[in-house]
Amino acid sequence: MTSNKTADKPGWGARGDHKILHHDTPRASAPDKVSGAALYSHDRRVPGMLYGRLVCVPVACARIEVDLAPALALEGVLAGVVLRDEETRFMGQAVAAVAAETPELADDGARAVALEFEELPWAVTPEQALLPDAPKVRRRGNRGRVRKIGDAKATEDALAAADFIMTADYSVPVQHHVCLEPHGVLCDWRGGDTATIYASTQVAFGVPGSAADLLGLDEQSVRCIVHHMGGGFGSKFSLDTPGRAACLLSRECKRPVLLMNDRTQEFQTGGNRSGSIQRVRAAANRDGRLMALRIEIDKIGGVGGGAGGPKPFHYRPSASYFEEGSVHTHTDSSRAMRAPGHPQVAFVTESVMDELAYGVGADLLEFRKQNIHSEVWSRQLDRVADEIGWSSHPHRRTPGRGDGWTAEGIGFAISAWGGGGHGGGQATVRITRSGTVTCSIGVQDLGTGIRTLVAMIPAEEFGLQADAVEARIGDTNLPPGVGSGGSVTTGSIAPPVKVASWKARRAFAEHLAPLLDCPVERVMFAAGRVFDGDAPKRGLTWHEACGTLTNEGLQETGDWRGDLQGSGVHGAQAARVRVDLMTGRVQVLKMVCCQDSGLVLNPLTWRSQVKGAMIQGLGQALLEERVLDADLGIGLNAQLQDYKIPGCLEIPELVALIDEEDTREFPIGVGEPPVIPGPGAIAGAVHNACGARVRHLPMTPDKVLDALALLED
Amino acid sequence: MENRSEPLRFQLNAESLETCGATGRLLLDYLRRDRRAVGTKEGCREGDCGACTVLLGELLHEGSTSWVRYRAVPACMLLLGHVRGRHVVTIEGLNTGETLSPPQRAVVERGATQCGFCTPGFVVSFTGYLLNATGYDPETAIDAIAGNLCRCTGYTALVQAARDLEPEFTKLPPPGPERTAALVQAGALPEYFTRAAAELERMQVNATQAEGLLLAGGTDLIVQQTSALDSTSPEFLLPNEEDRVPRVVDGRLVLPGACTFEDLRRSPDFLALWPGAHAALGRFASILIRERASVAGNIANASPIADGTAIFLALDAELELASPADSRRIPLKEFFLGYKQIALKEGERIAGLRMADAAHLGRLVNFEKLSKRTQLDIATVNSALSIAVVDGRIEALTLSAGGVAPIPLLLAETANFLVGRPLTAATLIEAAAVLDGEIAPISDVRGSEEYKRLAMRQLFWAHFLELFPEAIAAETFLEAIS
Repeated sequence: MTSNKTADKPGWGARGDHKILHHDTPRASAPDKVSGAALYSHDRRVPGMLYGRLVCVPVACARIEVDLAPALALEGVLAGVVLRDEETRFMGQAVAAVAAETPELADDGARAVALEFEELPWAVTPEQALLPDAPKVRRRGNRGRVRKIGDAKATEDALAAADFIMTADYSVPVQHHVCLEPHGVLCDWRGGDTATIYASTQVAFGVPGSAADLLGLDEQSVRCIVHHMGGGFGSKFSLDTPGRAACLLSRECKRPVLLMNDRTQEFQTGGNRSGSIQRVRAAANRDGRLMALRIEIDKIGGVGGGAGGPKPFHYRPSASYFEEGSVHTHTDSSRAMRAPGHPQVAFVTESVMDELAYGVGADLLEFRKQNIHSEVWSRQLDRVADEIGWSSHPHRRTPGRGDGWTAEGIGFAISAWGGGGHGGGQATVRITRSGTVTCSIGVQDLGTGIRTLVAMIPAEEFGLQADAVEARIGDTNLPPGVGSGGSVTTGSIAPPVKVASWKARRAFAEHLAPLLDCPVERVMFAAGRVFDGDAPKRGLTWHEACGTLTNEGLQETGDWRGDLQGSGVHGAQAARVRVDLMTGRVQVLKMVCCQDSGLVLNPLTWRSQVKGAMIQGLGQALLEERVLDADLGIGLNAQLQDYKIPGCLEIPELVALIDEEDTREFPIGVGEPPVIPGPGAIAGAVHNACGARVRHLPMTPDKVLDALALLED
Repeated sequence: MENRSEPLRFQLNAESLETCGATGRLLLDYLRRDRRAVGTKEGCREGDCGACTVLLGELLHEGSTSWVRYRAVPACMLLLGHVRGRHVVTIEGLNTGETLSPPQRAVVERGATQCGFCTPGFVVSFTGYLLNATGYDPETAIDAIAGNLCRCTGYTALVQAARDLEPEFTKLPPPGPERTAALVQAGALPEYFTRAAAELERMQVNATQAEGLLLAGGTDLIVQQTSALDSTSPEFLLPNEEDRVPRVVDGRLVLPGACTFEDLRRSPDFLALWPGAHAALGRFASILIRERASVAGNIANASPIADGTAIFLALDAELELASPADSRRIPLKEFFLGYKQIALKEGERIAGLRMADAAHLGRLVNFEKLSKRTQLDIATVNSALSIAVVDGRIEALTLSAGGVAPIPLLLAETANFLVGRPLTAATLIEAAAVLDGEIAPISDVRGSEEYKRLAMRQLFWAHFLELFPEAIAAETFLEAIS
């Protein structure tokens, strides 16, 4: 029986009382997705629509001249724009765009654009960028300002005094987002006062302003629609080059233009996670104390700065010191990617923790718990250790050697994230006389499941099934949503939806109390009925109750409230791997994650998020890497054929556990944190299995064999 | 663009269609643009993501009955001409009306979709599995979706969805008209599937009268030359599956050039020759690619790391090269002249491959491969072996190696060294040194020279550990290298 929630402010209530929330609920959009009915930007067609194509420069650095005339002379090519002249700074940088009646004509047009370029000296790798006579990527040079964090002197002293000291270099290569739907938009402007942008974006409400500027319209006249979008992972925060080009082309010819990246453009310019080179010195004492951590970090963010992570990571050395700066190269700027900067730091720190633990003969798990100073992480580590079988594992203080052919090992890693929301979102709940309930908020759903929550929350409030509520989202004509990045969506959207639902229930109860002949506090909503709580048999069905409303129905709007969400999540992961000692192949057998995130509103979509993140971590650990040819300055694997992401044959047994000891009764976002520990845990498991410490991701068979060969020397 | 006298007729979902457009167009573009079948997603246009998976149905006659057999294929690796007289089924054509089909329902209930962009492809692949599987086995069901990429979910819910379907589909009639009817009955296919054979029957005249160029594989050509093919005048036709299957002729196994790797994997004659083929070919590429990639294409491509070529070399295959005027046969090992240089003359094509059949080969066969991703990746190095051992002595042996020279390599010196010697670990340790002198790998994106040398030695030994676990003391190798 749903409690009456007579409190004078909205709250989530005790989790045991929920009928819909905190229960597995299939996605509201799933039927449309499995039947092919869900429309993405690249599926949209409007009358008079043209197809746009980008013209991209095929070298790392060039002085260019662009002449659109030959393209515009082709029949069917109706518009062309120059996006960049003078200089380009990375392979694949878009310099122009054309729009034509068909994609084939657009291809012809793009090929016809006269692109004269003089290749300039370039530096695509950090090694090249740091040579004394390296060409400058940025005017001020190739090394950005170095940030110094911590106490250098104290750290040196601690290093000198400790029982065991280690020195090693680590690196993490550039990883790509690989959204299944490429970046792109359909800009529907036909020369009038208004425009509609169908965008594959993480920030629907960010689009109208940028598009309006390009189209010469008011922001209020531009609408953005994102009913479905095919993945972002941090790479789709702006209108971006394809969107900008589509708007400019549309403005040029007063016709709608659809422009989507192709897969190679996705790899070259659609975003990447910055690489990282880390030079480490660290020390521990034989009593298991982490004494010192000193890391020099080069962030490799191409023409951009790259992302840093928390320093120190979550373990607590007695002294620590970090120097962090960017090395600029002639490659596409990195972008936000799911927990920016964190997996890089986590991989190195967890690796160092393993190396130190072995150095002082400590148990890998105990060494972590001893230096973490956190009950939450300690219990989560214990939980994943239990699930992965640590206590019966034979190699807890020294790495194994295997039986000559294969070896099995276990590794651990932890993560933390904020995940709190922010204000700005607003939801409207409307109940009609015919009994329909709609909840509207303009936020986009990246696939995380926010659309489903927008239906579940009112359903819980009214004692209905989730599918009895229609969620309207992904449209800037609806009440405002927020951008989806940093795991803020749940914390930003659930509160206004809750407030609107709570207000609507209260208003409906006030309307129904005289009809039920009971005080408003006793009006109950449950199991599709409305009734007097003291006399449950006296009541109405939901539809009967709605039938008593006026033709206008009932509508309430809710704003964000900070007390309906929170921030601060923790997680721990363990991995079990098998290493083929003859070939260096690593097979991940099992990964376990224990993650807190307050009140889990939909465990079904929560598990999907967590496991999806874990498998991305596995990809970063074993497979994913942008490969550049240092001699030619070009990328070598800008297609899915050569940039392999995990497929369903690579997946280990994945276990995603909700940390039920976290009793916070409000939701916190969870999109980013489970992507952080994977590479550290898997690298630790490889080391634990056979003694091979692979310090450079991804851990491909060749690197594992190299590391094994070092052991023999 | 030529205006053909015979318009192109085929069935798309429940509809019979006729078009006079350019038949060299990509099927994916035709479906999405002309037919607005936009549930068929475009994720990569290179056959690697599976988002554009469709079913391609071909009419078969068995005795007095005819039925349509469906294969799941990527629409970005088919041309419009390929569907002449065939049945194309997109995700839209799998919707059964008010209720979801069992694969759709399983995906919804398990939460196996996030952004959803890949989801239609998974549903089509699942359905292809239901149509073709010899018995429902969740493991092989997973293989059926291995060519579909998902970046969001981590796949476990999709795998779980595959498991959920098991009880419902354990007892299905063998693939054939009764299977199709049973799936319609179970709500896994819409009702119009029962009429597809009759529809295609009506189009047969049109299909057989068509003239054009048979293009069997083209998995590279179609991806790389899309716009060139679009404006090419000859119509490209897809050979029928029955014309692609390997056959035994006079003690020789004859593979038509058009034979795809999945045709090969289904061939009882090829599996008799090499019982490990089913598993090994499964690692070559995803089922979506295997259904489209032809053996002739794998050879003509002349890639030094072609998995198929490595196998055919080890089977001492012979190529049949045909030109309009005549035909000739050459040993496969003489076909590769240099990096991407082949002995094919102007106007010639690879008509087929010939090799000893199972009854005459008298050898054991094995294939080993190492790649960055264990499954469905391009090889860093690969190797195949066929061997006959009599009374503990190596009587005959052919050994190939990929990724260690500019061409797919036949390791003749290593073979010469081995033939006549006793099959012992000591022999193989010595032979490894001969092998190392015979290969010349280079450092590239797939690995360093040193690594490839090391890996090739391990693969070489792995052949014998795999084929002769009783005869070879594995530990000897460990001692030799420690």
